[in-house]
Amino acid sequence: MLEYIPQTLTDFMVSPFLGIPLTIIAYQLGILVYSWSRGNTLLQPVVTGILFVMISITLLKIPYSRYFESVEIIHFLLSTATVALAIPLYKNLHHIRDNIRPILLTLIISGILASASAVAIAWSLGASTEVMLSLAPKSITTPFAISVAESIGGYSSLAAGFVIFTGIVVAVSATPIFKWLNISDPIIQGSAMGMIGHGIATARALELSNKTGAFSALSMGLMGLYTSIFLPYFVRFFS
Amino acid sequence: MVLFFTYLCLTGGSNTKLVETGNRLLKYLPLLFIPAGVGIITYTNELKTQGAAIIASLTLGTLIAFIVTLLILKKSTHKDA
Repeated sequence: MLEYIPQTLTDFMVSPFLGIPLTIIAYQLGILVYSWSRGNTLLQPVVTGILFVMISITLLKIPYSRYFESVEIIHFLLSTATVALAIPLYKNLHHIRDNIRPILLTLIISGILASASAVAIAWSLGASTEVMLSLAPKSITTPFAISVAESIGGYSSLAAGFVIFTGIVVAVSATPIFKWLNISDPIIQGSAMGMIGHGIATARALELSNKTGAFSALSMGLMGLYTSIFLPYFVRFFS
Repeated sequence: MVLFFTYLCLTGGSNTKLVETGNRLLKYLPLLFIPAGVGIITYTNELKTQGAAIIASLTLGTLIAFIVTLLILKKSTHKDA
């Protein structure tokens, strides 16, 4: 790495010297936009960040594969961070004690439903197998979804985008749906938000109350674990 | 992750240094999605031809799953109470 000094402008543009700062600046910009909008769910920092990098590399005519190579270290950290997700799961574990039965029961059904409903709708509208496989892990947190999509033969990038979109759908629709179904229990609200809308809905759940957030974080962890263990088996069984 | 989780349960989360490092990493988790997320750019073809199916699947599928999940939770917590 030390011997690597970019010789030309093109070299520089595909080296980590550009890719890494570009990604970090894009993310910081995303955070700024998010705080300016006072936490508008549609303006997730990661969405702004991704768009900013997309526009930048398109303008600089850097192919995606070269950009990805230059930021491989960031992508590598993602798998490390996935392991670290055990920490919030552990911290929220005490919440489950009194509600273990309803939460686990719901998890089993809604884990299947979250994938199956998406795949069924996509299938009926004629989506390709790869797109359906990228849709299947849409309700679990991005790092899990990326690795699950890779292992079942979907496109990890599409999966990442689908996951974020799903989280936004849940975060935006949560309060109106709670009102419609007359649900006020933070345990029910939080658990459902975390199971179906992972981290993005969890951020929204934290705005509702700490208890809602805790249950959301817990269910998101359980759902991620459950789906990433069983989805690959389901796919193998049906293919 | 399961191994790490088991470790945390066994030690009672007493390895504060490890937990601190992990938490710091998690703080930047969204940043780590960016490289993979930008890759959507290479699938414009799929998005163009299957966009309707994808959007219907993501919004409808998610709403159905969310509502059913809420209803199951509501039913099952009341039964236990």
